[in-house]
Amino acid sequence: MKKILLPIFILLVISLAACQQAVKEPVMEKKTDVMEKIPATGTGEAAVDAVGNDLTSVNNVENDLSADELSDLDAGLADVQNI
Amino acid sequence: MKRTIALFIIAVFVFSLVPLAFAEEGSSVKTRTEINAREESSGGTGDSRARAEVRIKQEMKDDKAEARTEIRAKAEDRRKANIDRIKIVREEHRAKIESQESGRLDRISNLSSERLQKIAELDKRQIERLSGLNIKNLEKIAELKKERLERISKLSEEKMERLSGLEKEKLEKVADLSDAELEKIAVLGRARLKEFADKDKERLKIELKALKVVKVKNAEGMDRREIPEAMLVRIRERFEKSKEEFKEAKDELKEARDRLKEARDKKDEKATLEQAKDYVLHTADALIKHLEKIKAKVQESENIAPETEAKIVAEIDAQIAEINAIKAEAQAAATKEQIREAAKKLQGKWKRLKHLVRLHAERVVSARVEGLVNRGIVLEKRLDNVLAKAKEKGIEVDVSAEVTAFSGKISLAKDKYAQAQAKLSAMLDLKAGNATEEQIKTAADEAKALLKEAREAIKEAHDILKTIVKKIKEAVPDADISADVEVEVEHDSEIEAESAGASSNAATNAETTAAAST
Repeated sequence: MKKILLPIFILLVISLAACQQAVKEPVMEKKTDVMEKIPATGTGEAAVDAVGNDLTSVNNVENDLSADELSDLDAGLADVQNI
Repeated sequence: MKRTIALFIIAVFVFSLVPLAFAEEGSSVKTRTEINAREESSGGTGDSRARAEVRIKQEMKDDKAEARTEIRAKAEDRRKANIDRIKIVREEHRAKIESQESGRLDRISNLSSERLQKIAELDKRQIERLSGLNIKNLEKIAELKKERLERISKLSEEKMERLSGLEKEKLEKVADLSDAELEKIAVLGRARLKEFADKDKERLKIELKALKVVKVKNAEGMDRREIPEAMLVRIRERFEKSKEEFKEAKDELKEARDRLKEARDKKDEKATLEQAKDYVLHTADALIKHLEKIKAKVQESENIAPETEAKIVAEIDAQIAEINAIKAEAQAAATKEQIREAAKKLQGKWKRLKHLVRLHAERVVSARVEGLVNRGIVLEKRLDNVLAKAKEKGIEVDVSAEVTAFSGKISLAKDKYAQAQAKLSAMLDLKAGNATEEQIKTAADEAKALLKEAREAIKEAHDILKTIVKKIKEAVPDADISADVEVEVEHDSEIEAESAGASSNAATNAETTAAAST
């Protein structure tokens, strides 16, 4: 009988913890939903959001027109001149 | 016995869990029950509930009516007191002040007798505009000498509010300007206005003469060039195509270089020649596609003047034609010497092209920054407009500190962008003056850093703007900052004109200098 007591006690503690967790989980899910609905950067005012969008667009243009990707051209052309 | 004790302990434990497991849910049930019970007890039977509601409504109505009568009586008393106060004004002027709406009369009659007398001598419209100002600004303007007050009160309420943000000494300096100059300076945003007011009288007059004021409905109205939507779509499609082709050429370039290395390692002469040729051709393609990308972005920029755009595009086309000529030579090459010669030519071309490519890329970025600055300038005016409308409705929104900060950031961005433009011009001038590549690189780096600072300032302005809009929306939910409203703004055409001039010189000079160096 003594041998059964300890496993029963552990089982009860686990089930108790699981029950409490189950009650809390739906509340957590609801909070996440609300957070997802809030736009990350938008203010809902077109003129204000346009400034934010334009700032992003300037960064994109800068990356698109960067000549960094052509930095190894010199070395390649030098290789050709040494054939 | 032991068994019984053990079972008893387990039973006690299990029973103790029952209330714990239902505790959370139970609490909400209890709350709901309590609310229902309270509702029921307060409601009682349908009849008594309706009677209670009628009684409460009646009481509220009576209270409101009482409060309204009280407010009306107080307002009447206040108006009488205000009219008594303005009795110090000469009779012939009194009627103009008495006819003002209560709020305005309240503000104006609380001025000192000397200031009141000065204002009373103005015409009815001027008095009306002045009395629309907030008390602090009204006090500041009423402090001015009669002649200055006379001139400044010809401006609209919105303009006077902006001018009254200046310190006393500067306000006096500004008030000494002619009517036309006053109209011009009052168009400026807060930060630019302060900047102008800091100048000495002579300089102020000269700069005001050069100042160009335009009426626009939105930031696009300040663009240097109008591009039809259909054309914009075509240009964007071309850019995307060039971008894709550039990527492909870059990938193939890498593979061609690996294959060339492999052929050389194997000492396979025929394959080496073929792979070398392949590498030169892919290099030419990558350069052409990169130039095509820049060309499309230049063509797409509404803030690059038409003549500048035409020059840049012509120059890029000329560069593409030259690269195509080298490409044709490489294609026709049958010997190692010929392919070496084509590679050498292409390397020389790339050496001088690097600077122009960077220059034009920064120019595109600076045009974008200019567009953002323009947005900020127009938005400051729109905010003034929205705030003025709110004031007409009797709603005061205290965002003056934030609007001043916003104006400061936009002005800072404008200053940095103008400096960057000057650096870009300087870079072209340096090239013209046989400058070293290091000097040109330094100038380009500086322009890039300035444009970055300008963007940082705009980002900060954007954050401030969000706070302003939030405050306005809280006070005036239907306020529309995005609606197109005609506003007067300063339009600076000089920055572009300077760099356009420099660009045309440099385009030819850069070629000559670089050709000499190779």
